Amino acid sequence: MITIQELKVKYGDKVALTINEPILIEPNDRIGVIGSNGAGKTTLVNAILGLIPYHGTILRDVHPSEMGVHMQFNEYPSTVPIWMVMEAILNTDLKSNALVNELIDFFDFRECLKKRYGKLSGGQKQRLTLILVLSQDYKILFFDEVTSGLDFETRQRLIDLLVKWYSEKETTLCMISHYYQELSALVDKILLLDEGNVIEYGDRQDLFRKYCGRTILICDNNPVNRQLISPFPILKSAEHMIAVKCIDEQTEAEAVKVLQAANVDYIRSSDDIEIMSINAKERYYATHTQGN
Amino acid sequence: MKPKTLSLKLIRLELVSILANWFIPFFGVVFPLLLGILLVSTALSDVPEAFLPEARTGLMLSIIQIIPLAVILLGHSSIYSQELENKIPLRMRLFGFPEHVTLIAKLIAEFMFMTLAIILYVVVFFNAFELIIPSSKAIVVTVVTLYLEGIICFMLAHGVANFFRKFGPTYAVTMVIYFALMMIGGMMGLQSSQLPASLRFIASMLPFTYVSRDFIDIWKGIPYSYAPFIQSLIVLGSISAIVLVLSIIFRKNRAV
Repeated sequence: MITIQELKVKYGDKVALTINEPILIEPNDRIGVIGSNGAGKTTLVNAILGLIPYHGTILRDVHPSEMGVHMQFNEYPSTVPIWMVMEAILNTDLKSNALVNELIDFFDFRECLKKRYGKLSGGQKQRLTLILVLSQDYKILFFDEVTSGLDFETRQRLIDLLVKWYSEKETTLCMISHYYQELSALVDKILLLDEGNVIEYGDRQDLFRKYCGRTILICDNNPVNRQLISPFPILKSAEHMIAVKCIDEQTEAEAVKVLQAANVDYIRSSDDIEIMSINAKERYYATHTQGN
Repeated sequence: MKPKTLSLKLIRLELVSILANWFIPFFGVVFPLLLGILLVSTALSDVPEAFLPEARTGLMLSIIQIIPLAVILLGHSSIYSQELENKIPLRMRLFGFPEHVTLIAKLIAEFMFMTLAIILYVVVFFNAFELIIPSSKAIVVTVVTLYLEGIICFMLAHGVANFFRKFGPTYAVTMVIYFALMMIGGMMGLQSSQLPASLRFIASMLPFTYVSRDFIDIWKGIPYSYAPFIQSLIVLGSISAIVLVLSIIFRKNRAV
């Protein structure tokens, strides 16, 4: 569907994104694009959409009009009622369009139709763009931090709605997010970027196994717990936690036994994107520093 | 999915957007009507009765030009610069609307509003005052001129808005141009002969000056040499086109 080869995007003298190994986005892919601020996530989407100049090749099997995007910030004329904005963008009569009405009800948006855009809450604004984007027949859709700036409850509700909406659809999705839990619900591939470089791209489960083993056990980072799990391999993780790498069932059983015997609370995970990405970055920079 | 095309719903969106921005109906409808009625009622007190219809018609023709200036120059620049500041044109492009489609929708809506404002202005004036009844040729020339002024204003407004891409500086610049054109172009009661030499030269480059000063002759059926007037349209049109093209070049290849 989309093939990215030897891509370089510059803003002035600063290289914002470099892609050396080809990246393939295939039909029905559900890709999560992750990385910290300035990693190049939005730059990548902008390049794919042809909104910014770049060096290299982006081969697209889809026409630009078949690529939809929900940007981080979406603005609309603020002095006109929402229903009129929607009818203009979709070129439809809201009353007679079954799909749009389904989406309006699905996203609980009917009460907002007579409001002006400026009067909508953050969550309602995001839902408006979602309705507009989802009601059009795109082959590939990019979501750029759809839930940023929303409170936890609204975020959860939006993601639940998205998961439900796309559960039986074949649209290719490319979702940028800082919230890894959201991605877990929606995506099966991960593209990890950092400082404009591709750290990893592949199947979410494969990447987890590559960097974290079979499962991980996470507990609080304190001297007692550190002592308890010292015989086991430890993964790099956030400061406040310890992540035990369980490469097989036996290691996991032994670690669980130790933690339970000491009455330590722990979380077991077999697809933690955050810890996978921390360790992928660590290994990437270790390799590339050695290489240099 | 095919790229979006022009639709009535898109034009309606733009038209309602114009109506909802209070300063466009104010400067484009209320202000010219108030100014026209005020000037006709007060500034012509010394004019002999027999010449009053001609004097009133001259003032009406002069002030009617505020409508394209307000609706297109002020209106388009302020709405479009606000939209650019909020990246609405980009959002529309990402929804599949080619840039020219949204611009044509704006142009049509603005000219529709301008037409309605002109009709209202003319109806009010002809009902309130005794004026010269124009020939059909005079009507055609006046209407075509107002639309050409509208197109010139559109290019200028679009160029300024595209250059700054922010409402504040765009509004400031277009307001200065708006008042300058009204003053120099004879819409505020000042004749070009009353201006200093340098401003007289600028006035001679503006079609507004010729409409304010000479179009009464066309309405009276007096033979008129159109050459200087057409020249002024070409000059101002070229300047506006240059501003537009320069703004496009300036913004080309810049970040979204």
